[in-house]
Amino acid sequence: MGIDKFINDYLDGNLNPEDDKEFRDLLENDVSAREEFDLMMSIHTILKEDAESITLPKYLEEKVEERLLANYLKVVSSASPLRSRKFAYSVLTFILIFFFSINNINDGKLPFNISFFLSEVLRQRELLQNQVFALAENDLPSNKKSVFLNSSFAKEKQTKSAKLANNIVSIELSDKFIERNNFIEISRTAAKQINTYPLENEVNKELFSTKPRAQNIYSTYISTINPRVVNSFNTGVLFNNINEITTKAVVFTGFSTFPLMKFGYSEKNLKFYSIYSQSIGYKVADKFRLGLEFGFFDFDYQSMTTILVPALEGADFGKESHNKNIKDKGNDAIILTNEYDNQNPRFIQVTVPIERKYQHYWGSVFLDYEMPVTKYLSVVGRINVGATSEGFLGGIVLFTELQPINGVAMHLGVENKSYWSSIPMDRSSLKTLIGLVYGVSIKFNFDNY
Amino acid sequence: MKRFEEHKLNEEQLQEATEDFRRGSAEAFHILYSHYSQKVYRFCLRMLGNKEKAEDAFQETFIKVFENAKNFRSNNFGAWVFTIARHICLNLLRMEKPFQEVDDNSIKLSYVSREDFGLKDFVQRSIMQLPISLRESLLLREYEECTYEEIAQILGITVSLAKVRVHRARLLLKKMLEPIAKEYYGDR
Repeated sequence: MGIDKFINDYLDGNLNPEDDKEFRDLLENDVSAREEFDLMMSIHTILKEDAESITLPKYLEEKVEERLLANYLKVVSSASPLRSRKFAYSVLTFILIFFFSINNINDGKLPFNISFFLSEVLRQRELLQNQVFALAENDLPSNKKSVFLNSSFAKEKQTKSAKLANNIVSIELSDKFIERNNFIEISRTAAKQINTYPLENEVNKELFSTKPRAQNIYSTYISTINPRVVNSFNTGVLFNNINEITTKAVVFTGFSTFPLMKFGYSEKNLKFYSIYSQSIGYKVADKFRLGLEFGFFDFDYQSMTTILVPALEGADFGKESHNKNIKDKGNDAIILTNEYDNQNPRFIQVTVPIERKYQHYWGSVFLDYEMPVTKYLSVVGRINVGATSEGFLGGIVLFTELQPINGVAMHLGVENKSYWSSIPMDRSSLKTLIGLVYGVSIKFNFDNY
Repeated sequence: MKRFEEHKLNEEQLQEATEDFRRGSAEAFHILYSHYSQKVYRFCLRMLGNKEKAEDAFQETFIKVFENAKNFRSNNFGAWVFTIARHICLNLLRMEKPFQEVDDNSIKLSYVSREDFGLKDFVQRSIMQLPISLRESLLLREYEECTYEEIAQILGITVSLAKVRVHRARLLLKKMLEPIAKEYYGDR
């Protein structure tokens, strides 16, 4: 090993006993090695002296402390970006609800509506045929029933009632029908044609009188079919016959939470708490929705913090002026004075309760079970399992789903969310919240008939 | 809490303060600041060789430390703060005109006596002639007494490379400081 390596290891304190002995022997016996060593030790000493001679200028320290203080106060007092974000969420939600409330959604589902309508028409036609025929049969005196049923008139009547029903279908299938604005008018035309169908001229009035009953049936038909179809068009075709047909749907939901009970925090120090989340769910079965929920929770937590306050210029530096200054701010502030205040009167060290803002983002998978109570009201249970930036999250939510207009629902319920968070540090890492949850949903269906 | 005096913390206290700092304690930040401010300033001064720039770098370092406190995940606050200081210094050096670095064979430092330059100036001039990679390694080892593991972490290199750099820097510096060292301490 060369002398340079020996010296280097010696300076680093890495010489083992054998090397150390060899190194000492070398220094004793080799003059040039000794000179090298002395030179290196001199340089080492120079560097140490140089390091010790460098001191941080006082003015620089004060300057940095001022900047840090200004930065700290700026951070503490800056408006929470969260609130503006919540405001943006609210505005967006409102715009979406407003848009879907006043606009019909032309989402390419028109063929589906026609097919739905056709199936209805066919069902009604069948009903009509049976009813007309049954009516004719019922109106006959019992002793003439068999005569009637076997008569050519009865067969003719059956044929005509079938034609009548087919006429309705042909009318309803006209191109104009699908134009929503003309529908009612066309329906009236259809009704008029049906009502003026010369049925009475072909009916043996002695056997039965069909006119009023027939009119009745046709009117019933029109009134039966129209509201459903018209309604489905006018409401933007978001949900048709919600209670009759199983629907597959995507649901967008925004939830906000008002905290009622909190565990894992110091109640005294927790000044503000809120949760906001957005979810997208897919109706996987008649009563089940599966989806993803993303959100954030934030809180303002007050803790005693030591800061440096610049002394007032020209004031009598010391405790009095700052005691007054702090006292004016109320009893919350606690002043701490110590011997260092007088050593450097430009700053005074105070410990004050300062609120710090914390924000956590989380994401979860949820499963909803929906239990319809009435046509417009359901009760929904939701289970969440997910993760936060610090660990896991679990939640149970029970809420009502009120759907006053098709496609838009309002929610109110209670939730229990538990999550893992090491901030703030003065309590358990496991935080639990029980709160009042409220929100809105927008639904889109994807049914095929 | 002491102010305007360098905190001398033992390893346990340092770990405790680091832990508190990671959890958002402003007081812990102040303690760590007091412990490291002198070291960081010294590092910036010898890295940049200019008092004004060193002051700027020092301020920026601690403002950045404060602003990025919530991103601090490591257990070694010292290594983290020196990494930040180093990046700031390198940025400032890049803004300067290309620095004339030297290698082992190109050192032709003329003899300068104590009367011409003070010891500090001479040391500063010599250190500034070191290549940046060697300079930062040497400063962390000789001035700040960092371990080779810490140096490797700060510079983002391997421990063995850190050792090589420090060794090379010592040899180079020996060549440059030889005249003044002999004059200062004479032949021992």
